[in-house]
Formats: sequence, structure tokens, C-alpha cells
Amino acid sequence: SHRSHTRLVARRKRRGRPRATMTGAFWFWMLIFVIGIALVFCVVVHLVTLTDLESDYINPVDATERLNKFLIPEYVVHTSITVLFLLTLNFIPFLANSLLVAWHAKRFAERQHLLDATSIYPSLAERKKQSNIKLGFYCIMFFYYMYRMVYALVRSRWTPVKINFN
Amino acid sequence: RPGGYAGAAMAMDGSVGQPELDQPLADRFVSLPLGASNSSSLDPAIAPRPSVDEARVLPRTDVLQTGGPSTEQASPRFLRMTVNAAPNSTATLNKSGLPFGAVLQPLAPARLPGEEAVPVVGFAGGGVVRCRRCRTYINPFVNWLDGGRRWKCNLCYLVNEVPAEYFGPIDEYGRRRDAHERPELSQGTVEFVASADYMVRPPQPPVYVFLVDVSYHAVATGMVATVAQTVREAINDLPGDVRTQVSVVAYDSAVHFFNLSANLSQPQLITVPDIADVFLPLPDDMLVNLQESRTLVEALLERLPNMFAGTQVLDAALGPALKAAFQLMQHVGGKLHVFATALPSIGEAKLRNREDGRRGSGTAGGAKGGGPQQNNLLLPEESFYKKLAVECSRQQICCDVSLFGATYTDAVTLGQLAKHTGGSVYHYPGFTAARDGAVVRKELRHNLTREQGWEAVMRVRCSQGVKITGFFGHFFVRGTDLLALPNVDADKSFSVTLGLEENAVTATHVAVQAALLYTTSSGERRIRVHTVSVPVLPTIADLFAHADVEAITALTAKLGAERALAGKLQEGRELIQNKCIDMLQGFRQICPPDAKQSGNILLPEPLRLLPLYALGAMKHLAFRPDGDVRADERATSLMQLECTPVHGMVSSAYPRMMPLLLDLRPPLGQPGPSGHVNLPPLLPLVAERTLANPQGCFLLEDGHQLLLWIGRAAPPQFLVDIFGRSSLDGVEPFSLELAPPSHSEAAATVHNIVEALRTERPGTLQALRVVRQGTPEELLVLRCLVEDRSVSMMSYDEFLVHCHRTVCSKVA
Repeated sequence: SHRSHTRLVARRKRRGRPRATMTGAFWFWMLIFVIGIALVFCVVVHLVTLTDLESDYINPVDATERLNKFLIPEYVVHTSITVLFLLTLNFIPFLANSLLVAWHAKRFAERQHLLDATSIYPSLAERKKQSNIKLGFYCIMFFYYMYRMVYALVRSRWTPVKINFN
Repeated sequence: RPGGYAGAAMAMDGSVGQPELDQPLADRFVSLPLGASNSSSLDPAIAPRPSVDEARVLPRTDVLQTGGPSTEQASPRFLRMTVNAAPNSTATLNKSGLPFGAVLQPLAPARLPGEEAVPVVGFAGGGVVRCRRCRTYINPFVNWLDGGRRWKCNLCYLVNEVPAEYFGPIDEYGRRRDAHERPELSQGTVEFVASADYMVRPPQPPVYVFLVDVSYHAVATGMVATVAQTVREAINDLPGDVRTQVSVVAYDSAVHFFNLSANLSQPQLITVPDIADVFLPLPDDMLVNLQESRTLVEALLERLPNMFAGTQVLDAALGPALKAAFQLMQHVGGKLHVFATALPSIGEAKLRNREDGRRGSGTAGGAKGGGPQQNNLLLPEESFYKKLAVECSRQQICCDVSLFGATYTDAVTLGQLAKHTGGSVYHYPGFTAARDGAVVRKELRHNLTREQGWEAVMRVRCSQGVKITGFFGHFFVRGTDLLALPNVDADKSFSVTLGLEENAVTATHVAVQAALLYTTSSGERRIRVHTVSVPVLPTIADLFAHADVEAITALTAKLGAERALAGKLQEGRELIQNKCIDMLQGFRQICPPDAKQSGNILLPEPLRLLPLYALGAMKHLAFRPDGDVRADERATSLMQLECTPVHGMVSSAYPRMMPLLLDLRPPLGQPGPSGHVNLPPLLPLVAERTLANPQGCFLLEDGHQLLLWIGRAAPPQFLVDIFGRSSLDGVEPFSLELAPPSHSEAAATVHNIVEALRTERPGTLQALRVVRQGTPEELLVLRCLVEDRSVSMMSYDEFLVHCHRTVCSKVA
């Protein structure tokens, strides 16, 4: 007979689905992941500028310019991903981020959000504390996004492999 | 029961005997019994008032002894701590309720007898001796080690090497033997000559630029004429040397420049009508060297009023004019003085009349003085001025703002120019040359001719364990603990609040050092260093024993002013009251129980005038809740308060009122044995003792202005002696002047008294105004009667009782 020896071959069992299925969910979480990095970056820039100001590496006028440049984009981006969470019915990140959106809104309403070169030094300690808390928050959310992204990746790419021991 | 000064022992003018300093504080307090019939009232006669000497604001020099000569500490005229001791823990400080901080006046002139000029020290070779780590300047309080070869910094405790050329032997007490030859080791205030390392550019020449409003109202009220005449008369006395530069720029609906090139025979007017894009018509020749173009400058100032005499232009384009002036000066820096009558109405950064429809600064806010409309009027509206001020500060330009309008000129917004560049704000509401010309001339002349420091920075350092929690005044914070002051003058004052870093301070002494690096008007770069060292004391009683009521009043008022200028007027006023109550509460806690049982009002002896000064500060024009205080007046008053030195603040809180219907001849008006001039006794500030008497004549000084109040039925002989005429009917009060000293002995004595007052309050009290009973100007005098009950605020005795009850409810 032709079958003189058995060959141990692991063959992928083809199914009806097409290959390379990175679903929309994965791409969505990939986007959120990247935005999460960007948000963390914004806060880190904020903190580094404040520390530089304290140790006299930068003058207050340039520091305020730099900080204000990053502030509005941060607010806008963060609010949009929160809205996005609501629209895609991811309620846990939506609720977590809406707290921060509410705080941002309060700052905006009080006109406190933008920094002013003449009053930056007295409020330095307070702003550093706020930035530290935001950094912690963004980092935690970032890990959550990463988890969701990997989960989506695994769910979409991973299909069980059947070993044919024929 | 011994101890304390019961009511009977106090003289009518509130003076008390010299306290025994080694008596424990718990025995040195003032105990005021409440009324027998009505235990909620106090006999006003026994309430504490300052004696004549105390009202001069003489700093207590007894508490600063550290074993060395008293000159070791910086003179109190430069640096006054609110408490001449440091707490050893935050808990002690908080429980005592005392504010911990200092009031600085780095360029203060010598004011009282015995005050001397600041010694100047040059360091050859290695430059000024400073600590390696914290950069503190060498001062009398450092510790010398190793036979004088090393020194230990008293701020950061680092051991530094003594440079070889600076070495000197030390004696058995650990002090340098040559300390008396070296002012920096024996005196708390010293000025170093700065080397080239301390300059980013060669020392700048003094530059004066005058930006004058020439719209219709400015010319019609005589503002332009008065200002031009004053500047012309002062032009030869401007601080500076051969390098001084001057420019004049005028604006109404266009910006007018003047070509003052020395080649011309007369000044040339160049108008730039396009205010949307102002440019400098000439590259130079508008900012000219004073020496070379003196005749042209004087000719211009003489002709300026006539040039615009017939103008009908009502608009003022201040924003574009400021940008033009900035372009003119930005390469060198200097002093920009803005004279504005009209609200900026066209061009960039025009302002609107926010007060329109809201008469006064709080009709809706009303008696409480705290509604949202009230807050709005105290907040600046247009951010252009603040941004320009920051740019000016970077280019070493300082702006002074003088406002002369009869209607709303948004002093808060325009004042931002001065606030962030270290300048001054002046306000002459409803200016007319006839009525206010004399005052403006004298004050402007003083502003131009007083001692000034250019392109300055100031840094305040304190010992490890103590940190600076806030700065107050007119400056731009350029770095941590670093203030940028494009121009600092002799009258400017700054305050700092201090806090403890960790909970406990382990050192024996805490030092505070303020260093001002500036360029003098003659082009020398100097560093003026003031150092004060206070002992660290453990108990609350010690802190109260060393408290300085005048510095505390000044600092508390400035804290309130900062709050008010953030938009919260009522909070600012209440801050003063709450701090007063906190201090009284902190003291009551440490009083002996039987004193507490007696139910009397207990005041610590060093702070016995605190409630009076606090009430006076709350009734100050800046804080009082009355609706008849206009927003502009209030705003300028607050901004001036931020820069007032201690003696000015105390005087504004408790004005001095003296009767003049006395025997007006020596020894009155002549220096007494202590070196201070003998002054008439002070009167309590109640209307029934003063203004109710139609035959009276009083001299009133409130730290800002001098007023001479004449009653309707004043004795004719007195009027002849003082004014040279027997009746004042039909004479306009603002044209009245004192007869010259040669006229009569009484006139000479009054002149001496006025000069003595001016010496005690340098920089202010420039002009003497005569006010007659029954005229509208009498309001100026009425506002100073702080002990009386007013529409919305308590009288002095009521305030004492109120504080007492609040404190008792908190302590019991």
C-alpha cells in the first residue's frame, strides 16, 4: 500500500471564513490605544514643562505658550473618545472618562483651563498635583485600552487548530 | 489683680507706659472691662489708640537683638517681619493665628532720625562671596569655622571655603575681628558693586517716554498743560546722566510722534493716522538724548498744549499708541508714563464703559458689596494690556499709568500695565487744572525725580525649613522666588508670606535675605542685600511677644487687596476681619484663666492696636462696602495699597488728626530730645470730637494726602496768622495756600509740622489741600473718621465688642 508511514502533519482545517480577520473591534481599539498614548504624552509634556519651570530651565512666557498649545487639543481629543465610547456602547470606559470630561468642563466654564504667564508660579504646586493625578488616570485607562485591544486581536485572529493525526 | 493695664491706667490718648520686657507675656496684656450697665458695650474712651510716637510708625528695635549690634539686622525701613521670631512648628503658627511674612521696601529712603545711608562695598578679585549651593550673599549671621578659614551658610548650612583674599582671623566669640571694617559682616543692609557676570547687557541708560492723551477732554480740562509744564520743570532733575533719553508721543484718534533730532531748530510733528497698523515713521530721532536735544524737548513741552488746543477729537486710540511706544523703546527699555483721560474708544483693545447703568461699584451688590456685578467691575476685561505688560517686562519697560477722566476709565484693565511691570497707578477723578493742578504737579514731579533702579530683579531667600508661599505687589514673577522689576523706585513695597516646609524647624535661627540686583541711574550695576535673622521660639506666647502690629496690618491688608483684585471684594474685606479675630483667639487661649473669667476684652500688649488698625483697613476706600465708591477709585486704591509701605498702610488705616488751634510756636514743630519733631497730640477719629466743632481747625494726614480742615466759625486771628487773610469767604479753597513761614510764627510752626509729616511719610503728602466745613470736599475728611459708625460698618467700640464675643464663642 501507499500509506507506508504516517505523517504527522498539522494542517489547518479550513473553514468557510476568509483569512486575516482583524475585525472592526480590533481597529477601533487600536485607534483608542494610539490616542491613549497621545493623551499620556500630553500630560507628560505638561508635567515636564512645570518641572522645568520650577528649576528655571524655561521662562514662564514660553512655558505658558507651550502648555496652552497642548491643552485645547487634549480636551477635544479626550472628549471625542468619550463620546465614541458612548456611541459604541462601551459603558465602563465611558463612565470612567466622563468624570474627567466633567472636570474639564468645570475648568472651561470657570476660564481656569488656560494658563497665564503672570499667575503661573503661585499655582505651580496645585497644577503639578492635578497633572500627576491625570497622568495616573490616563495610564490606568491606557492599560485598559491595551487589554481590550489585545483581546479583540486575539478574538479575531485566533481560530482553533486541529491536528490531523491521520 | 496685677498684670495688664486696666482701663483706669490708660491715658485719654491711649498711651501706655513702657512695658517691662522681661515680664512674661501672659502678664502683659490689655484688659478692657465692658460696661457695667450693659455688658455688650464698651466705653469708647478706654479703647486703645496710638500715642503720637506710635503713630509715627516707629519700628520696635528692642525685639531684634541677637547679641550683636543692632545694625546687624537690616534696618526695619527695608525689611519688616510680621513676627520678629520664627515658630518652630506649623501647629504653633496656626494656633496663634499670626500671619508669618515680611514687608520689603528695598530702596527706602532714610526717614527717621538715626537712619543712615546704605554702605557700598566693592569686591575686587573673585567677586562677591556667596554660598556655593544656595547662592546666599555673605551676611553678618554666618558661622565661621576652622579659625576663619571656612564659613557655614546660615540659610542652607553648607560649609564653604573662605577665599584667600577674604580671609580674616576670628575672635574668641566666633566673630570676625575685622567685622567693623567690613560692612557686609556687620550691617544687615549693604550694597555690592556688581561685576560683569551680573549683567546680560551693558547697563541701560535712563529712558523716559511720555505717552499723552490729547483728545478733547484731556486738553479742555487742562491735563495736557499741567503734565507738559510739570515735565518741563522737572526735566533737569530726572535721575540720570549724560546718557538719559527722552521721548514724547501723543495720541487721540491717531498717533502723533515728534522729531526731536538735534539738527532741527524746532520739534517736528509727524502724525500716523493708520491706527490699525502703527509703525514708527522715523528709525530714530524720536527717542533722543536729552543732553543733545534739550532745547528741542523743552520747546516741545512748552508748545504741546497749544498744538492741540482747538482739537475736537473725542476718540482715544490707546492700544495702538501703546504698541507704538513699545516699538520705540523695546531695544533699550525704560520708563513709560501713560497719561490718559478718555476711555480707549477706537483701535485695538478699545474698552467699553462697564459702569454704565451701574452707578457706583455695587448698587446691586449693595451693602454686602459682593454680587457678581461687583466682582466683574474689579476684574480686567481686555487681555491686551496684560499681555503687553508681560512683553514690556521682558524688554525692561516699566509703565506708570495716570488717569484723569471724569467718567469711567476702566482703571482695573489699564492698571494691568502697571501691575505686571512694577509701575504705579495714579487716579485724579474729574481732574480740572484749577482744582487738582497743584496736587498733580507735586505728585508727578515726585514720581519723576525720586530715586529709581532700572532693569532690576529681586530674589528672596530664607533658611532651610522655611519657604515662601506668596508674593504681593507690582512685579512679574520670572522664576521661582525671582521677581522681574523693570523699574523699582524708592516708594515701592513688596510683601512675602512665609510658611514652614516640614512640620518642625530644628535650627536656632531663621534668616531671610532679599537681594535686589539693579542698575543705578548713573549706570552702575549694584546688588542691594537686606538680611534679617530671627530666633526660633517654641511657644505661642513668644510669638505674640515679638509681633509687629504695623507689619501685620500691612501684610493682612495686602492679602485682602489681592483677594479683592481677584474679583472677590467681600472676601478680601472679611479676610482682614477674620485674621484679626484669629489672632485675638490665639491669644485668648494662652491667657491665664482668671483673666478669661473676668469677661473683659483681652488684647496682647504688642497687638493692642490691632483691632483699630484692622477696622481702619476695612473702612479704607479700597474695601468699604458703600455704594458711592466708584469702581475706578476702588480699583486704583487697591492697586496703590498693594505697593504701599508699612508706614503708608498704617496711616491709611488710622489717619492722624491734629488740632491746630493751639499755641503754635516752638517747641511745637521743633525736634525734641528723641530727635523726632514735636507734633500736636492726636485726636480720636470721631466726628463729635472733631468736625462737630465749627470753630475748629484740624490737620489730617492719611498716608496719601494732607488735608487742612477749617470750621465755619474759625477764629479770624488764626486765619490771619496762617493764611494772611481774616476771612475765607468767597475764596476758592483749592487756591488757598499757607502763608510763607516768614509771615508769622504760627505759619512757620505749621510749615514745620507739615514738613515733619512729609519726612515721616516720604513719597506721599506732596500737596496740602484746604477743605472748608460744608463744602463737597469735606467728604475727603469724613471718609477718614474710621472710629465712627458708618452706614454699613461698626464703630470702634462696637467692633471690639464684636470681636470679643466671636472669640469667646470660639474659645469657650
